[in-house]
Amino acid sequence: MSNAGTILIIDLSARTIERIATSGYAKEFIGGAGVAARLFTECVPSDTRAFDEKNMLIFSTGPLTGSLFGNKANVCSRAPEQPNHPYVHCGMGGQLPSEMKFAGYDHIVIKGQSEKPVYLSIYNEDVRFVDAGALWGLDVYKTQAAIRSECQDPDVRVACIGPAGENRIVNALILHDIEHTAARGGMGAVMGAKKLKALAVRGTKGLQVADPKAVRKLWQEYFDYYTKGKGRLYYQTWQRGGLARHVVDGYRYRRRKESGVYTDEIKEMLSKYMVGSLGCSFCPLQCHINYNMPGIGSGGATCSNHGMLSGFPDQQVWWAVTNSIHKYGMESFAVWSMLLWLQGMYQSGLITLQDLDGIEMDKYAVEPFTAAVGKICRREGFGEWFAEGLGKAAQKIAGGKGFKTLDWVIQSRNRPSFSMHDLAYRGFAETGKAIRYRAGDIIAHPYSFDNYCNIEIYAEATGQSIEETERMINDWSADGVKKWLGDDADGSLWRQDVYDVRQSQLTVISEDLNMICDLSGHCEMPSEREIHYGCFGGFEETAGWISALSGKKCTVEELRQAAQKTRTLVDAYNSLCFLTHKELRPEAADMPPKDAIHDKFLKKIKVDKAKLREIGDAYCKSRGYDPETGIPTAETLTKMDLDDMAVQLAQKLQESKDWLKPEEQETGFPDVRAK
Amino acid sequence: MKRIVFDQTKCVGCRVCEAICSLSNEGEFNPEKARIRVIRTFEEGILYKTPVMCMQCENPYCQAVCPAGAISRDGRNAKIVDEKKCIGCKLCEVACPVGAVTVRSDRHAAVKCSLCADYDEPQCAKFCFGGALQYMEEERVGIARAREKSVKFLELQRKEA
Repeated sequence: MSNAGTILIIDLSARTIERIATSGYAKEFIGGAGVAARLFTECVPSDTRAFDEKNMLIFSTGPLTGSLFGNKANVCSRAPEQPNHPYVHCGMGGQLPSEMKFAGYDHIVIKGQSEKPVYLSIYNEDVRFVDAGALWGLDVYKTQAAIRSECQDPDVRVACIGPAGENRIVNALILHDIEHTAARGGMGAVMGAKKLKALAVRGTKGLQVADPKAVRKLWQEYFDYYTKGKGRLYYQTWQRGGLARHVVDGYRYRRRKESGVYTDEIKEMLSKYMVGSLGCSFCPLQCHINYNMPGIGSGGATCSNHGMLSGFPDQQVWWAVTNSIHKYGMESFAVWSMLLWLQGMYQSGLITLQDLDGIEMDKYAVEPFTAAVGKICRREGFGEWFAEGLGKAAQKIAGGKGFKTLDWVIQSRNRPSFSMHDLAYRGFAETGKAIRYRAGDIIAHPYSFDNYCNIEIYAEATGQSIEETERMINDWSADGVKKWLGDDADGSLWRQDVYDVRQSQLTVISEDLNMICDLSGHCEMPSEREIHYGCFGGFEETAGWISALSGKKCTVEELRQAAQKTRTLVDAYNSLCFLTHKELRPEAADMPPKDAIHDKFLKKIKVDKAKLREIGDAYCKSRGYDPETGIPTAETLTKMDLDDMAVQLAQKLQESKDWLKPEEQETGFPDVRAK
Repeated sequence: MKRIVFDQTKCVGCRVCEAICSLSNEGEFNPEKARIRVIRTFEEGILYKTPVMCMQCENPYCQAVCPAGAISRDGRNAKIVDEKKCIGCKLCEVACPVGAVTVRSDRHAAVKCSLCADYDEPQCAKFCFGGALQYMEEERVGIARAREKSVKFLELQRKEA
């Protein structure tokens, strides 16, 4: 494999540094999230909580990271954001992942907890613990500037936390550069609990290539596809702020089509305030946006940030609040949800001005919203309510009266939907969620026959009518279905109102496509997962890139096996965690799913529960999971050489019989729903 | 005669140029060994990106200061380092006004852009997605620049029309 060859293990408690070879893990798990999952599940017992000393934080890259084919890292740990602190891996791009490889490390494993604030300085082999006392309390931009200055190297890549992470706010993130984040799960809070302010990496060793000629040839194909081929539209429309248009215009597409009202807020925002593009190393898309709004501030925004702009088109408020959330080191979707929920509670009289420490939240304005963000980040006054997330806050505040106003995702997972389209999609996205919603991963995927974000933008770029463009995109999606499921399947399988047991297969394929990106380090956006955008880069291509880089044949079969093994390992471990945390039962909404979808949610999008259950059962059969519990079977685990998980799960399942009530298994939603 | 022309307004700072340069000329992915570098500067939440490469000067200081006569001009007007003659004194590194020459201990010689002497065209320009780097005939450069700068005037004229 084209790995750097070394796993760096740092123990913050003992202040020790250890190096082990990657090769022992890479054979089975390829790299990235796969190797991280094995390292994690080997070392961290299931009874661990996110802020415990024995929890680990892993920064993982894949064999493609550092090359022209990928520059993604995964940040992996037990996630405090969700009730039973599941194991989560979340992607983070930017320049840091390739710099890790260039420094010689495939994975950086951080164990233990430091007594005092520190940051880790890694310059090739030179690894140091540096006192971060003076940095504690600084926002994410000031922290990075201070470290670059201290290292006397403007090219050092810094991933850090802000005050929110230091204060263990469960929606705290890790931020690198201007807008590259490990945002899901509360990784910033894990880092804060370890008193680790930052990771500063500089590597000069590069990534060796086994067959440069073959790599150049593959790169030529990639380049041609995205400049002259079908992918041309994707590239053209995503660059230079196009991503924001996809999100904002795309989300409004249906609304716009129905109302006939077309507005140009995002175009105005981009033309007035965009000062440049941001992105990962060696990725021509540079899909994030650098804004500078005079009098408000400068920073970056990505797709999910713009999701909020699509609902509340006041540019100044959106940017001031989003930028302030980022600077404190928090996940904007979560904090925006808190603010809007707080506003609703105040407007409906459930909380008073006194509760809000005198902040007038009824106005949608910069001052009250940014003041509230500061309170949340510092856990001051009402800010303390939100330290454990919106779902938990809503259960406590005003006798839990505001809990029912939250959507299903926040109620069950204590976090807002990762992206605005989560709730809009059913089909295979919900199949995955129904099976796995107790875990940290969000499998939802923006495929859906009538929710494409790119219709208007592609129509504009091609000069085609909306109807023609819609047909073109539907054809592309249908091509994907046929490629994966055979010629007798068609594009209607993506539709929300169609139920077909083969949708379970689409779920499996989509998850595997996603997972190979997490293993290899290739970004999932310009990949086959986005076939409806005209993208390519699936199992065959990824195997080819890895083979050319490493000089060792990587087959599609090996890749898919590693993806499935990782998926199963993570599901088994998270099931184990759930079964271990008996004490969390009264508040945990994470149950083995029988009927995982909330009734209210079902009504909202008209889901046929019985049919969805059928799809879920077929999915479990494909994965080798028990359909009654969604837990990988002992047979599956043994077949995958995950015997350690099989033994532990069998024991826990036996123990849990005493306390897991059958009626709870039946409903899927225990006590929180009853309230 | 062709040369590389850079248009700052089209550069997104992706660093594909660095990666393809090091892959094509060194057989590895290593920005430290790339002949073109994208300098990234952060200031208060804004990222500034400036590519730096050999401008293939008409009166090159690197060539003038070289005591070993190791730098010469080839048929494509690229300034080429003869590694056999180079003594690694680093005077060229000091003399270069843009910082585009480095002496590398692994090669015991100065390394700089040769307009990809082993390929039919500079790979950075060939694979620049946004067209910020273009390899074009010298006589076209003037008009290309003029057209680029005229865009704002064109916009004004359109508004008035």
